[in-house]
Amino acid sequence: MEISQLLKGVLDLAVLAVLSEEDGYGYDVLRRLRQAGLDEVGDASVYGTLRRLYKAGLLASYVVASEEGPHRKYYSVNEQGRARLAESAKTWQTFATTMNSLLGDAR
Amino acid sequence: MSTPNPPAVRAYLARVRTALADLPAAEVDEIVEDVRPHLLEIAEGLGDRATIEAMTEQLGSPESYAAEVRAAGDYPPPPAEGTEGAEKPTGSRRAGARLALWVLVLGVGALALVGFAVGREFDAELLGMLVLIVPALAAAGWYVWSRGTGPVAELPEVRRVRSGASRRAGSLAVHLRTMAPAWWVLCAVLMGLSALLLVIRSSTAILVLPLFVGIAALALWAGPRSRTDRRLLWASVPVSVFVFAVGSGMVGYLADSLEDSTSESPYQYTSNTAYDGEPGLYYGDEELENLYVFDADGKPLRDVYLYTEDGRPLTVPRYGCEESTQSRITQGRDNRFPRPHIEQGGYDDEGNYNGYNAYRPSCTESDEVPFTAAIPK
Repeated sequence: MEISQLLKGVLDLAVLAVLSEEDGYGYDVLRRLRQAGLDEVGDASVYGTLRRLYKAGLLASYVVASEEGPHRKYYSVNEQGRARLAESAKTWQTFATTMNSLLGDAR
Repeated sequence: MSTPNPPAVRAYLARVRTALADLPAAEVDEIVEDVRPHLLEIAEGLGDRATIEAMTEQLGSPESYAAEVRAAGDYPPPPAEGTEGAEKPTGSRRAGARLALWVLVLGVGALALVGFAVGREFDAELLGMLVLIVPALAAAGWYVWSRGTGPVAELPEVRRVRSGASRRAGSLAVHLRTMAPAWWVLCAVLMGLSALLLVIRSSTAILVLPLFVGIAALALWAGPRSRTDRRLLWASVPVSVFVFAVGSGMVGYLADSLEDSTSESPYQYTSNTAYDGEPGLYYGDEELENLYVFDADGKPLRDVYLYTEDGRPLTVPRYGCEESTQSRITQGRDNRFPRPHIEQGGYDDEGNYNGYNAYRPSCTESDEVPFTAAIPK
């Protein structure tokens, strides 16, 4: 199964998780997702997701001046975002447990 | 700020912008700001080979990149221009877009008037006007919802306004944008309050209660979304204007009722002046033109001069008859009483006084006292 197919459903969760560790700008979020092993995540999808989460009021943003290059727009998870992360994480874990036990025989 | 944007990055971003051109400019700016550091790093990695082709190899075409952002960001789909390209310059599409735009503009104007009147009069019957306006706006909104705002944005009148506005708006737009979320909540609250007030004033207004609840819900739903989805402007702008108009009408109404209540108070200040702005003579609310003075035997006194308690002459306008026009005219001010009694009327051709056909004015002065006074002993 294509990982990119799976990613569609959980990219929100992944982005929230990455940002809840530490604030980051767009490219930074992408890099950390890849470092975590999500190689297949699409560049533009991450930026789109960031904007969507921001529009949904789950993220805050602030601009930091940078010494080299233009200033950078950082995103951070706000209260609402944390609540959503906790909720989605729970859903994911239940789902993953269910899938694991379903696939137990197939392994 | 040492690294300038390499041309390849600029060219790539420009094409991404073009592909997202139907989204609000502020939102596209935000997206580009997120993407730019990434592109700069890729361009840096490519070094001298940083061309738009090389970047396309790594990232895909700017257009597909934009499409991916659009899909992941839940932005509305791009206006279907490619398929309808041939039809674009022809009339029907443009006419539809133009109609949708002008229905919005006129509908908003009409809503402003109705809203103001409703706020001022608090008469639910005025809301009947909405029966005409709302369906027209809804039809225009539906048209834009199904066709996208692309055709509207291409209208020459819109382009002209936009290029003019973008030069000036700047900081004001940013300021308004930060206020926006609070405004939509305020809209909903104001609509709720107005509905309550209307229902309190007349029970039939309960019929329009769903309307106000609907408007409040529309403000909360479409308002914040209209920032990223221009199609919703056909809902959010009318709601905003209607609420604003009702609000200003209410302010006017409140100001008026405050004024009314102060004028009913016994401590009012009224300026009792005559026609010329000088002090007049009043008994209660009634302006007096004449005074008759009698002695203890009930005999009328003539040529009496009146003064106030602090010795100022009590001068009021004196009226008399003008010979040539037979009309009443003022002859200055003095404090001598009584004035001649003036009677105005008219004669007809047969010399009848104040008859049905009287047309020649007549004015007569008489020194007679029109009544007698019995002075109690």
